[in-house]
Amino acid sequence: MKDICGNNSLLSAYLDNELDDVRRLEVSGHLEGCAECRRQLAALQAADAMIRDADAIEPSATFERRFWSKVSALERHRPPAWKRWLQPGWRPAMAVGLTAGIVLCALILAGDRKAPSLEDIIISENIELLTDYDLIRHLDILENLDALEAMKEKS
Amino acid sequence: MLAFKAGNERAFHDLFDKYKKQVVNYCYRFCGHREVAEELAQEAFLRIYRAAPRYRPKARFRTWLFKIAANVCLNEIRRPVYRHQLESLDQLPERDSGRAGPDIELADAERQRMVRLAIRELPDKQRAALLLRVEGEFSYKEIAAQIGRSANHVKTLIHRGRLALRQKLALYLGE
Repeated sequence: MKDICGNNSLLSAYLDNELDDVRRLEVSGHLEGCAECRRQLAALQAADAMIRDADAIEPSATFERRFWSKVSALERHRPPAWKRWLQPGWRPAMAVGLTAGIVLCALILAGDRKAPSLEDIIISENIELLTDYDLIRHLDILENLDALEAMKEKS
Repeated sequence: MLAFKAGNERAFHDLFDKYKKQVVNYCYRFCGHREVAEELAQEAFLRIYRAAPRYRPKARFRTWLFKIAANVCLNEIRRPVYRHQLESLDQLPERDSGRAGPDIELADAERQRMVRLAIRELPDKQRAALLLRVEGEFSYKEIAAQIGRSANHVKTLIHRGRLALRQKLALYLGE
């Protein structure tokens, strides 16, 4: 009990109900047998009571009207929504948004291009070799194959 | 507050009506001057109004409201415009007359004035913490969040505030 007796900080926390259950019981037990600590506690309670009993005031008659005038003034001077985006507080958010937009556009545009097929890759890698064949060199003849067959049938 | 954030203007009127007296009195006990207290309380409500779009309920609304009120008191009271007004302090509030004899009224008024002065002479943080505890009935943890200190520091602030008040008001406390 030595650390309790005369410990005003502890009594203050006791008064505020801020002690754990064990400590609270210890202090309660001590108070029962210690007149000086009871007197100290009563003085702390009396100081609190003086604060609570100090004259409370009613807000003045004009309090509310003045407040709503300030709100109206605030609303009048509030910039439109689009302008608020240009205010310093929003600039980092805008920068992040713009960057994200640019990246997104780039990804969409890149997605439109078809990737070359395996066949295209093989042809491009061997284009010189392929052009050595007569068949390939005169491949345009094949485009008129239908016309050639029709002429053959007539003859 | 969430209703107001969602666009219900009436909800803010209700909050204002519900808490205006509590906030005005917190500010009044903090600074001891009616006009200044009303200005501070209005500033606190204006900050709440402006902050509504960003409001996220992390604690009770009342805890948040008094956090703003306490910070307005701590910061704004240093402004020259308020300092001048506070220097001409000591006006007494109107009280119900006819309740008691003139001597008793006078003694009571004097006691009230001394209590106000004693509170006002406490260091700012002690005063803010003690009033949040006694007037607002907030826990040490809540006060810690409100004034940006640890709960242990709040415990010390409140204890020292009470001791200082006891000394200043010893005459009235019968010590």
